[in-house]
Amino acid sequence: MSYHTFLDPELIIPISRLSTEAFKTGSWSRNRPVFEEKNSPCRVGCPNANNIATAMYMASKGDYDGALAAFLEESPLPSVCGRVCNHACQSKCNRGDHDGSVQIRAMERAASDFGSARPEMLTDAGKGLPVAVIGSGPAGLAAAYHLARMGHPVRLIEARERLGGLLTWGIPGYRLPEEILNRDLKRILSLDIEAVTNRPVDRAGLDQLLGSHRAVLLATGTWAPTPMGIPGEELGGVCPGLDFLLNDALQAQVKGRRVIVIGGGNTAIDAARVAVRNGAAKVDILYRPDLEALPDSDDEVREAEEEGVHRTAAHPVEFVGEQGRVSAVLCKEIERADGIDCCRSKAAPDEFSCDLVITAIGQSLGASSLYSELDMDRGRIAADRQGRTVRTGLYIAGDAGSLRATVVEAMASGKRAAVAIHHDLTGKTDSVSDAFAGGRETFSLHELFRPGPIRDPNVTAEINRYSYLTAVATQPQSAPNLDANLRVSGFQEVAGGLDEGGAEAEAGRCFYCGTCIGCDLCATFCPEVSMGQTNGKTAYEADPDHCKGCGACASVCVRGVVTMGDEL
Amino acid sequence: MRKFITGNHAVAEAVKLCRPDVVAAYPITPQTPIYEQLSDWDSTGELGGTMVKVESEHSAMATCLSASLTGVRTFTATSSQGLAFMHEMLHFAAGARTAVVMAVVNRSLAAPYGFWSDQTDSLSQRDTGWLQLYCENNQESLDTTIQAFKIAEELMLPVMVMLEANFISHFMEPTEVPEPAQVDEWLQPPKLPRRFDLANPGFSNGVVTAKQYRDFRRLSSDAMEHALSVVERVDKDFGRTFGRSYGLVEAVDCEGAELILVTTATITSTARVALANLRSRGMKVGLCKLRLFRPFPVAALRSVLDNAPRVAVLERNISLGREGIFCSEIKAALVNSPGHPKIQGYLAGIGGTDVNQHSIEWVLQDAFSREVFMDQPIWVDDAAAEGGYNA
Repeated sequence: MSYHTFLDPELIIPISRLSTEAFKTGSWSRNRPVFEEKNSPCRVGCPNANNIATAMYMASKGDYDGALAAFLEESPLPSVCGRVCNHACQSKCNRGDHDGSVQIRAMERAASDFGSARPEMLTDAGKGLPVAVIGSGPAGLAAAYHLARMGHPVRLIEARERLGGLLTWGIPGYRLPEEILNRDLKRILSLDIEAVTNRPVDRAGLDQLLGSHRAVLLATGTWAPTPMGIPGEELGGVCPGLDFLLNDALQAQVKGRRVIVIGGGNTAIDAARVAVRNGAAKVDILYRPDLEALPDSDDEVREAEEEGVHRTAAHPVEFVGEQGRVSAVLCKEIERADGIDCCRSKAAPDEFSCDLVITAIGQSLGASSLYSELDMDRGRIAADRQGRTVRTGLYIAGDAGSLRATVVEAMASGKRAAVAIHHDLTGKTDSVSDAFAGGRETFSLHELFRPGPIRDPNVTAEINRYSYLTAVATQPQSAPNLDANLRVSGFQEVAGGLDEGGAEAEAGRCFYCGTCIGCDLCATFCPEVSMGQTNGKTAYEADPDHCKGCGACASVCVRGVVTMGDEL
Repeated sequence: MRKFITGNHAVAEAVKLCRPDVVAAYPITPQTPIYEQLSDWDSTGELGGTMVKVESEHSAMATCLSASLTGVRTFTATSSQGLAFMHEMLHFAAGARTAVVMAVVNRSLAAPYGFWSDQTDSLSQRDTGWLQLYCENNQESLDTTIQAFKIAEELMLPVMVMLEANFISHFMEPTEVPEPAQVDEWLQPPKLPRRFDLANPGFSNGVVTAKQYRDFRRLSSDAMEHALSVVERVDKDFGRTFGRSYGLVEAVDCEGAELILVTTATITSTARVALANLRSRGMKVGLCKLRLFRPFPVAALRSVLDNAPRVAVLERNISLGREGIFCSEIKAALVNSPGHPKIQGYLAGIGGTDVNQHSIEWVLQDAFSREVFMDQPIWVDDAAAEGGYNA
């Protein structure tokens, strides 16, 4: 044999150009892959179950219209939530332990800033079944939005002169500019919703509404301040936080004065920052670490401190006054609880002198004839998990029925009540129980009206952990805040938004857990070339003649969509 | 540039100089520093190519052989259990006529577990169809790795380069690291056939008929035989450019010797000292270092050993139930020698135990004066290592 023969590449190894299709390797199979999209951990973490993974995927392609449409599936307020949400979703992000959570809130803002989309109608089954919604805060708006998408004629009744409830009156413009809120309101009102303002409803009005509508939703919120219950609270110069935020005249009084805000939550921080913007000489927050709910995000505390607000852990016991006006707050020393750093400022002085005190330690339901016949639970109106009160046809949503006082929780309760109303009125109880399967309160409304099975809200996608190792670590995108010196001179929005490029890059960091994006890995790695896209959509199916059940497709599916089914 | 580095890092330097397109490996003591060093360079971009982090040695070899079939330069490294786990894929790499280069750090095989030098791991892969070269020191490990790419790519046969655990892998020696430009000039990019073409899909290594199988084996066997001349030519060519060459075997003072000691790998360095000592005392002893094991250099070995009356084979491995593996091979190679040298096998250093000057002198004295040559090997014991020859 010659030199060239045994080194001739064409001869030395066998290679076949024929197809192996004739071998029905599917007959070896003991199980088959199952293609099933699942909840992403962020979606499970979102009280409103926003379709985040899909929105991120759309945005990563620069399709902000698609991203906004994905948010609008579950939420009427993407512009609002993109700014003020406490983003519980982000703490669940699979990227969190890798290189930092995807900035989902900033992405919701980007989708609403750069995208345009109309709300999608879900069904017209609610036609001829009118519903009245009392209160136009996030709970009332969400309920009205979803009821209208299910075909119900909706009458949205607001006591004040403008829609928005706490969004309008409670959240200052530097966090939520008016024109941003109006953008969401305009989109909501493009549905079949008749909104009326300046229309407080009393008991007689409620009875009348229950007669003229098939259902009434109370989403009236909690507007009464929780009193401190300490001596001196009646002195001049002591006012509740929400009153302060609502009242321009009260705000004007702080100019040149020393202001003390008592409380640890969002209202306290907002009141302090509004006082700074109105020219207060000095603004101190006294918070009781053992009692107060802390603000939703550290960002706000940091921003307030940047603006000159000083926070001190202290326990007010008395307001001291001179000639009927408050002049100081007396505090007892705070004890340090075992192992808990509840007292950051150890040597708090006993007496804080001041000219004005704003108390912001929480909101109460207050007294109203609207609730007189209803059951109460821990200071709120009692209802089942979907908002049904003891009175037939009357439902409850938002802070009036819940102690979880965030915008997104209010929105979610509005959605729950809307579904309950729709199903009670149309008699479709099965899918309600499906939606609430496993005792969960978060569910996708969009999915209830989509053909196909409803995904189990308890199942979160198990993503391929290998993607942690291979994904290049990238820092989350961020946009700078407005300079603190500029902030305090007005009510300009503080938080910067991502630009389109930054948002696209941030969306690209998302693993799209549980959502198929047609990456084709399952098809690429199938040794039998048996995985194929079906119907030209991002769905895959194994060809039973050739799938031998090896599971390669499931092993490489980064997003946990393809898994191996039970043994045949 | 001269660097003071371990044998593992010498191999890594060689690999970087050869600009592999694909490196796939899995860590295992004592090879891990090769993998770590390459991984470091991969992260800084100095390595170039693609480093594939696999979940096992089996996959490392599967990755390398598949990549090689697409025509690119590939490298991996392993040791002991990792090599054993790779065994099945070694046959594929050779049978598919790939040009994978692999560094094997010789380490004892379990059970029981040990981390020290023993050649049985790579010798157990004797029949997989790979070329095997055993290195004496860090410099030779570096040089042989560079040579291995040229040999493998010309022959389209995979090459194993052996360095010993601890004695080479972790010992530091001054090592000459060639300039990149010099290596680029000497080792051109691979000219391997690209067997896969998306426009014309194919399937390699399918089922063949018995006759086809025999014919493919025959072609591989012929290529192996031809490999002897290629390894020799590449080594000489390397010597012309870099000033160092090693041969298939190396003979030291073998002309007219009454006893020739055959060694491989690191034992050779110590043997050089022992031999010099005994020669200065008038003993006519020679040393033959075996560097290439597959293909076995029968002719080169016979040219050294054919006329020696006595041959001692000293080695750090054992085929249980027979003797040292090199000894069996050498006996078989000399069976047709006209002078029929007497051959005695000695086992020393098994499991990484020390083989020092004294133990080698003991072996030489024993073989020199022995009247009966035994079919079984002699275990060189610790007493010999300490006390010299008293038999």
